[in-house]
Amino acid sequence: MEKWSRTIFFVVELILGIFTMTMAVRISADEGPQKKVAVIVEDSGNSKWNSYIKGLKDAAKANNLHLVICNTDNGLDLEEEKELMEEQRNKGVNGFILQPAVGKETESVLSGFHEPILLNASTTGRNFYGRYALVAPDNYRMGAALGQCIVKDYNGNLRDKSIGVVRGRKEDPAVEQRWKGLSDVVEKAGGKICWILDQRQDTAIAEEIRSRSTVSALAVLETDTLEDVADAAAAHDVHGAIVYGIGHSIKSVYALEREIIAGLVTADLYDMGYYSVQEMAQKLSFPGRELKDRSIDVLVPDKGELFTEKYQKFLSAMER
Amino acid sequence: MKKLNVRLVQMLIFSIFLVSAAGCGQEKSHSSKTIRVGVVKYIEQDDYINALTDCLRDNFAKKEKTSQMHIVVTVKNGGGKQAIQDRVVEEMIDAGCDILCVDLVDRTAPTKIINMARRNDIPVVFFNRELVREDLMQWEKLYYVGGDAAVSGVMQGEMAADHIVLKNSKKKGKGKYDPKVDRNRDGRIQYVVLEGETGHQDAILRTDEAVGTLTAKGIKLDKVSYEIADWSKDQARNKMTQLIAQKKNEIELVLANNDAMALGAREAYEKSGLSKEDYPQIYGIDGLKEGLAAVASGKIQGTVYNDKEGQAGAIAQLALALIEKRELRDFSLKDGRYLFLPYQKVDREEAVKREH
Repeated sequence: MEKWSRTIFFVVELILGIFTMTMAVRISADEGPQKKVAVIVEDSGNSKWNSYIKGLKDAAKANNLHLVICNTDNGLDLEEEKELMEEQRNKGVNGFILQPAVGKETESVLSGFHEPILLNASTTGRNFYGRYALVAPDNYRMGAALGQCIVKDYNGNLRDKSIGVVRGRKEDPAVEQRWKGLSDVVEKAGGKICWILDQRQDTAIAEEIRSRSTVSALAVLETDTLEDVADAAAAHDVHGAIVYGIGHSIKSVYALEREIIAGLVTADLYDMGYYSVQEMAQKLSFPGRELKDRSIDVLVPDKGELFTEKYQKFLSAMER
Repeated sequence: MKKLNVRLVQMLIFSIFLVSAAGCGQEKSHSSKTIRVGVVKYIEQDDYINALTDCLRDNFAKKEKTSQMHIVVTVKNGGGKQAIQDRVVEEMIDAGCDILCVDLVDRTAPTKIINMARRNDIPVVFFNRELVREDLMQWEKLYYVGGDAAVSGVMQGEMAADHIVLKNSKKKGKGKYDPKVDRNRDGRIQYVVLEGETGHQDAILRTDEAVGTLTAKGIKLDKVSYEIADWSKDQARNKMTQLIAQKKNEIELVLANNDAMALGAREAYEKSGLSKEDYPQIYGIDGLKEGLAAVASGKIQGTVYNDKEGQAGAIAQLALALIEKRELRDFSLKDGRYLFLPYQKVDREEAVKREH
């Protein structure tokens, strides 16, 4: 009997010992150095990223990650992106969240990095680069939603209506997808796209629009360009065309609220930032886990419901 | 032995080749010539600061074209709160930055930014809001570029005085003033000040010097109201609308600390239903495109041109000189740290000239 008690005592002690050691290992793992994630998006200081960056930061805080938002200018090129990634890798970064710079060599540049990479810009669809997960809105759907805004305002019939499209950077695959979505819907409703304007960085948009034929509606496919067109529209400088656009900035929302633009399509970039970091945090905790794609909600706020509870979180994140 | 020597020589030659090849690689590397400039504004929406920042980007872009440097300019803002601006600067430094250009939210609270910059040996060019001298002198890599706010106030006062007092008039008292300005002909000018923000040194100086200059020129003034409109056209329009509702056509002069507020005041009058003869004289400061157009068309009577192009050029040149560790002898720095750029009065004639 005494022998049994001693055995039981040793077994219990052993179990407790293993349990204590496991807990100690887990605690020390939790208290280890914070994992670092670098975020690279073009023009990182631009206010169009406000809600995205808020989402990133909130998730980083919740997951105890150190976030490095790289300093970038507009027109981020592949060479610069590569340079930034190398710089951050040398500083000990554990993962990257990227807006991939547009270029033919993008995939081969990214493949030179062995840290986990998650992409934040939609291209031709989910998981464009095959090897990388994508957290982004569906750009085709955004373009189509913009087309539907126009169609709705003309009671479903765009016959005899002329439409001008201000596309932004045409080499950007996201813009290309939006364009496809828009043109499919417009054509189906019998509308005619009279001209397409690809804005270059140094062009004055109002002058460019003035130099084109007068149109019933203007569809703008990118945030920065939409802000410029909205300024031109506010100064009555767009030949009286009704402006619709895709935009993620608070300025775009103001333009809708003040009826400078008639329709706005946007996406919940707060969620894009939040889920990207959350996904990366899980990958860094469990390296065997695959990063997963996620499609971000496309929003089409109506002017009348902008300040309702539905858009409260969306607007407050934008204002940062 | 001979074989060993040959091997050694071969290895030596190979090592030299490797070292020199690595050296060449570094020479050609993009990263060795990339300069990261962090610009942190005090707030997102300020027309003058945004115009200045655009000029700053243009200056760096021009420099990039004429040199081997790749200059990356990242512009962020402090959301109108010093704590946020401190955090933004911390993030910029953390991500890698060679120089900082900062328009402080609170000119009396630059310590955190200075300490962070100092710890990381990053020079700082402060602009637009002049910090306290003792703070600027804390470390040898701190500089300030801006206009002398007091001078802009004096110029605004002088322009207003020129319009108020009748030219060649020897009259004193009631007949001395232009009846289009002193509409009630009481020999006094009823005025309103639209001030940028509470406690902002430039705002205080502009107001004090503008009013002081008018008084020094013997113009009798009655202050109708003094409103803080946060440098904003919208706020100025709202505050003036309220004042017009109370005072009707009593106001004869509006002194605004910047063009945006001057234009806001004008818009309030345009929506008030008062006849144009009852509009006051309105003066701004900054000389933004919209402000200059308003002066040229007679919507406002004058502005003081705050040389944003000159300031942006000076900030860019100073920043590059600091990064390249060049001597600063070519800069006319006051006390070795301050670079003040002159203002210029813009009346209707000058504004029309500038438009063409």
